[in-house]
Parts: sequence; structure tokens; C-alpha cells
Amino acid sequence: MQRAFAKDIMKNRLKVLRAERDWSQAELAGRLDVSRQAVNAIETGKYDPSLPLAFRIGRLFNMAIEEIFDDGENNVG
Amino acid sequence: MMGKTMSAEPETPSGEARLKAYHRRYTGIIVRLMIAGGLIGGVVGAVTAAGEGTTLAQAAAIIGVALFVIAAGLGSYHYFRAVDELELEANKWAGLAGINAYLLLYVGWRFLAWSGVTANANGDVIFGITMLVACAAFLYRRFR
Repeated sequence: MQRAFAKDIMKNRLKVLRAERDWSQAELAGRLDVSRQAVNAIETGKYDPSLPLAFRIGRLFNMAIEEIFDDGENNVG
Repeated sequence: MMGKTMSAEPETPSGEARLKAYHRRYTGIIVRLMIAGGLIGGVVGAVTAAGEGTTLAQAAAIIGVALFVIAAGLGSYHYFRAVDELELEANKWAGLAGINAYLLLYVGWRFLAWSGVTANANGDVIFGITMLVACAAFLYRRFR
């Protein structure tokens, strides 16, 4: 069973994607309708976004969720 | 001239539309129950107070508390509809930390008082510490 206190936060490419578009955290936050702190927490790996927010992020960057977020399970094989 | 065609069967609402309608109905029922509860409580309180010779200051206090409860409830409702998910999650953690702090403090203090080690548990102190723990948890989760 997945433990609620587990520290297995996903890695993500949000900071890179944001930098490629020359967006500030505040600008990205505005496009995603969340606070700047939320963007910062996701970028620094302190918070995993909800599935609806992950979908919004994917749509914004026109990418699949797994192209942005990596739970470390995809490359095993 | 072409006659009017029979209208097609009404469209079956999509699952999403039905879910939204269900949520609207659910929220409506909860809000109506809250208002009804408040009104019944107000009437019962007023009648009871009138029968016990309540003073004007006491009646004002009762009305003030009732207004506070309504304002706090409505304020919380609007707050939680406005905040983003990071803040919502921070609030959930704060609630969890607060309830655990309350449980540990109350049970621990009551047990110590029962054993004769300390004086009786002080509700104000427990409330204050619980709020402090909840606020600290919120600030940590929100701004770490």
C-alpha cells in the first residue's frame, strides 16, 4: 500500500519548460490559475499537483503528462 | 407545406452534466439544512432565553455569536472555493496536525490530572496550543 507520508515526490520538467518560454513563475501561475507558491512548490519537488492540475499543465505545454512528470518507473526495464 | 416533425426524444444528459447537477442538488440540500438548523437553533435559543429572564446584554451576546458563526461559515465557504490546491492541501495538513495536537494534549492532560500530577485540564490553554500547532502546520506546508 502507498504510504501517505512517503517522500516519493515526482521529478518534473516544469522549470525547464517555463524557462524555454521565458515565463516567470507568476506568469505560469496565472496561466494555470494557481498561486505562484504552488508553481514554486511543484518546480522544487515539494508538492505533487493534483491530476486535474497535471492535465492543465500538459495542455498548456501541449505535452502528455508523462513527458512532464517522471515518477521514476518509466525507464525501468 | 411540411408539417412539424415530431420533436426528438429529449437528450440524455451526459455523465458529467448529471454529476454537476447532483453536486448542485447536494450543495443546495446542505445549505438549506444549515440555514434551517441556524433558524431552528436561533428560535429555540431565543425562546429558552426569554423563559429564563435573559438580560439585554446576554441577548446581544447570543446574537453576536450567531452572527459570528454564520459569517465564519460563509467566509470559510468562499475562502475554500477561491484558494488553489496547494493552499487547500496546507489547510488539510493544518487540520490533521491540529486534531492530533488536541487529542494528545487533552487526553494526556486529563490523564495527568486524573492521576493527581497536574491541575484539571484547561480548555483555553488546549485551544490556544491547538491553534498554534494548526497555524504552524499551515504556514510550513504553504510557504516551505
